[in-house]
Amino acid sequence: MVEEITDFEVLEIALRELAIEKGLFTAEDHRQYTEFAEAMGPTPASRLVAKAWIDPAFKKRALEDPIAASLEVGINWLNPTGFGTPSDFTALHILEDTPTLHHVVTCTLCSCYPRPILGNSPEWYRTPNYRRRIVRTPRQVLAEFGLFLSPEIEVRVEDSNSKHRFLVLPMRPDGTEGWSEEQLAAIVTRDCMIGVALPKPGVTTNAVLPVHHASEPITNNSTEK
Amino acid sequence: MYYGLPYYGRWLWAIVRILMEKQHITLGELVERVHSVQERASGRTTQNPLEAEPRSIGNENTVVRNRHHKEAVGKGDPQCYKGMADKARFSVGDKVRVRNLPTILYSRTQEYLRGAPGTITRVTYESLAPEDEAFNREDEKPEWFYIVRFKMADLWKSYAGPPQDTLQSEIVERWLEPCLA
Repeated sequence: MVEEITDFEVLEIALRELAIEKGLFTAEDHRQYTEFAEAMGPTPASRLVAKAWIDPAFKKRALEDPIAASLEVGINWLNPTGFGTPSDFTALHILEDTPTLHHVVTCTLCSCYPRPILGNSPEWYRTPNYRRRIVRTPRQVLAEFGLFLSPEIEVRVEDSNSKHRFLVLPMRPDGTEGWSEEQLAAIVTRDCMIGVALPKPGVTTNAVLPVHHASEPITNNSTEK
Repeated sequence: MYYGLPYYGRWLWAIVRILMEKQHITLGELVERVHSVQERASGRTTQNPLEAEPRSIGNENTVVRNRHHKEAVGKGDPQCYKGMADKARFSVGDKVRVRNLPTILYSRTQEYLRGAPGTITRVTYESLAPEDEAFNREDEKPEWFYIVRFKMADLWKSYAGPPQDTLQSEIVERWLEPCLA
């Protein structure tokens, strides 16, 4: 891990100082926005899915007005500005999987993602590798995540290139009868709500992608070449 | 630059461009300040983090802003554009084709969809077209947006998956034309 201050951090500090001096925002605004960004995570979305599985009336509300339904899991898409964040907007749509339809989400143009309810996107979601290939050969890319779908199922790729943000509502798996909302939410991982995984009893973490370690890793001794 | 900068590095770079284009800062001011912060940063490590040290607090009332802070508060974006577009040209079920307009400087209509036949599955919202929004043309007229569904087999000649596989995208009205075939 590099310890020196990077050029990007220097640039950010310079921009922040100038922004405050010009009245664009205050240090307090910056603190609040930082806290907002750091608090984002997938838990509210997992709860939304679990609630939809348990309560058909909530599911109907979630499909008809997802922004309002988000409030029921504690997420207000208007935060923190009062009109939403610049790149997340206030237009969520929930994609309901069925026994014959599986959704997977991408943004080929950049990496748009329903951050207020699902947290920050994983690194792989942002890569041209994922974004280019998921729209061309979705089943192959899903297979790389360990997801193999039968040819009877329709795979539908949702390219979020405009203001809508998308969350997949996967099917409730067998073996979860009588489970509480908390137990159900635990198996609805971030990957399930992007559409690269299916929820399974006992699986509460995202896919661990293989890491190829460097053959000559950098050590902390800066004098070593 | 897109492939050379790290992810948030690109965001930061965009902030530089936007603040300058909107004339909130000059390049000269930025260069001097980065130089100053670099001197302050010299020899420090992440154990002794750099803090922002603004030299004054600006007057927020002098800042020229987008209209959002007045018109969209409590409503959101795209909700703030509701009622501003002409009547929607297309309806759910309409067969459309993505136009192959020239791409100059910017578009959010993907190259891989140009010329593709699709079906309108949702009429979504009114908003500034990306070509206007990106260049701060808040004075331009919003248009309707649509979710358009495509068959993968119509998008890719070599698509090897089953014929029922589809793809959806959200496209602004000006980029669509009726598909008569």
